[in-house]
Amino acid sequence: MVNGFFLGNELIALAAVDSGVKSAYAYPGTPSSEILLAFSKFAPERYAQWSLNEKIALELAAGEAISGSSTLCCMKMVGLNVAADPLFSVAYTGVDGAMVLVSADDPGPYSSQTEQDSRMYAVSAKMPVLDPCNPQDAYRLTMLGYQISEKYRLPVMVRPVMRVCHSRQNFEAGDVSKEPIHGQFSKNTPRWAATPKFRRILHEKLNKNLDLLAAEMAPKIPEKRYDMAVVASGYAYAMAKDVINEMNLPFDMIKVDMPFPLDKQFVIEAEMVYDRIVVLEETFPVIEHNFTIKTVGRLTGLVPSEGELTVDIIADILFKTAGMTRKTDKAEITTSETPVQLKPRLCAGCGHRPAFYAMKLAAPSGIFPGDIGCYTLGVNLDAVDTCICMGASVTFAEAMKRSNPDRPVICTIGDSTFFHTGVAGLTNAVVNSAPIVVAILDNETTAMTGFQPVPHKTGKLTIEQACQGAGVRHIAKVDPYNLKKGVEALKQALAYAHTDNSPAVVIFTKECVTKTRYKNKKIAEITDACTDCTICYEKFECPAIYRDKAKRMAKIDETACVGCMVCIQVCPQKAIGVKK
Amino acid sequence: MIQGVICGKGGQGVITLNAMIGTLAANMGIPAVSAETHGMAMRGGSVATYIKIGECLSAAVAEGSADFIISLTKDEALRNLNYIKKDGVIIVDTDEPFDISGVKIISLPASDMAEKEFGGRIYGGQVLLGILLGCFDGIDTEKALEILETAPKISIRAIEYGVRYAQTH
Repeated sequence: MVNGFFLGNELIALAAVDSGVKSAYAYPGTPSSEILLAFSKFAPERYAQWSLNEKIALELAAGEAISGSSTLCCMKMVGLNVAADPLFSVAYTGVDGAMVLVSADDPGPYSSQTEQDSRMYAVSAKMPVLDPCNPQDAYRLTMLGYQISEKYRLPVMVRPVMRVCHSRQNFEAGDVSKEPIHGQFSKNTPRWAATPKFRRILHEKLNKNLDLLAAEMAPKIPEKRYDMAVVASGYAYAMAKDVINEMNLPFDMIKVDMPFPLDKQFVIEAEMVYDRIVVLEETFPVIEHNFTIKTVGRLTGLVPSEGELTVDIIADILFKTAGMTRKTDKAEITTSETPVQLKPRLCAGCGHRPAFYAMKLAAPSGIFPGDIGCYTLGVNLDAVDTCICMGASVTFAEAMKRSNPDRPVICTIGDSTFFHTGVAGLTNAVVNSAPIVVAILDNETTAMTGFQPVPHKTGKLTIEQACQGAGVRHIAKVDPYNLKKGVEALKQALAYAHTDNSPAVVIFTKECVTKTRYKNKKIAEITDACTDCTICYEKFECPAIYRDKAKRMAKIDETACVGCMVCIQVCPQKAIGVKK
Repeated sequence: MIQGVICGKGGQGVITLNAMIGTLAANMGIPAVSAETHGMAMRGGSVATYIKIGECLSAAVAEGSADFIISLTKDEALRNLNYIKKDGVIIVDTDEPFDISGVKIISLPASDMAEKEFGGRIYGGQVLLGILLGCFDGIDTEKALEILETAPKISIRAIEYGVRYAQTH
């Protein structure tokens, strides 16, 4: 491999390959999704699996690691909530081979429901956690993670934030790839099948191991130059180090590679050496909680408790603590122009859009619980009323119906999300006689996170079979491009749910529009019959239609239109046709 | 150290352009770090990447410290104005006039030019990259073009076109 410009996620994958990982398991989620893909790219002969959800991925990675193999498991932090059950248990049993769990955090948040800190899970489960500061560091710490895991026979967490996952950095890859480590399961009931009595023993052993590891990994206190120090981990360290170097600020820098377990002796010494310590980390005060009176950070209100830490926030904090004034070379710009705000929208020709539109036509007074994926953007069409977590559309539909029995309830869930956690909720709705309609928006891929594969495209099962298996007796399949049929299918499903007191399913299947290759495509055209009623570009919100201000009518963006022709069915004036 | 912001709409090739600049630096033996936004933004939202070329650990560009902004739309250039420093340069792909003062602006219809010259609007980004290479004293243009020789021929031609544009305007 040559000197290249690599994504943090790629270097995490490369480190796993170089450490001798045999199998990798993941469920996609921004910002973690590229890791498994890169693992397969670097080592196509090794095993890689997109599991149905994060709990399954973690159990598979742990199961192989308990068998003595070396494994990798990747997810985003909200996925770790799903995987929390095995996480806590495997922290006690440890592994016989090696295992690194990568849980990617999203301070901001940019594409998540929360700003939770995976390191808090590590503390709570008592699992060592490493916090890389940039892509090169992510490679180094993932390698180190495998070394710790092999030495102490413990699973190790690596927690990169989005800015590490999605940063690129120059990196010279060497020739260090280790052969994949295969193990054999050796029975050890008190460990692998520990009853509560043995769990206490495992817990005690774990605590001793953590103390040894903390001492081995104690952060280094540098030769003292200043009376103040910054103690930091992760991307906050990288930003603080850059600011201190560029602006010559009077702080010593201490990097914490492993925020948990943190060596107690290090904390005592640091507080003896320095008059003032600033702790910078994302997003919870995990390191800071170990320090006492001489220390400032999030617990003292100096560091904001929400939102991403930016270089400007860090610079302001350091200048303020140093008692200095920050000056910038900012250009003084005058302009009369203001930028138009862009909001994310479903693509032109996306099959989800007419499905949402059909729901509103079929049930104008309906309640529409939504779910996690591209189709959360159904909020733009007023067809997503709730968005909580993976799979919660179906359970919320059951709950909403119980609380609002007089209103129709139609929930939407994508194909990947349906298999992730939707099936269990649907089974519960059947067993408990919930008269709801579940609209499965099947675009045959996991689109939002980069088109990872979905279970029903393996040819081994179908969505209908899964619904039948869950006990659903009314299942309809429609092409969302046919708006009339979509509305009819939803009305029939609502009627069935009402009379049979049971959930009905409507599957809207349309290949993701970004995957469709259009040849000699026909496009739509607005005629003079247009009255500028705004429905096609505002209510239907097609990004390929905009308002021609001069002519006061709608206009087709010919490069964006993919010719789905749903707008023809939506237009109440019959003012849209196929361009000849 | 050179710091910059590259921005545009999702799908316009912002991330590709950023990777090209970083790869160029890496192959010239200069360390570089950049940061991208993915996910939701991909569906037509605003996309911005930040890049620092030189000895540094993070890609975080502070307000008022960018040496350049390359923007594939006028709106995104306006949205990121707070990053540019006094003697910085803003290179924008737009066919509209740009009412702005207090900073050096190079605005041109790069995508239209690329469509005419190279048969694709997507090469507009490479034209802008060429302009950056051509107008920056800190970059060895000759050496950069030498390194880029392995890139697709049409991309090289678009970059060279940009370099010439910068030298003649």
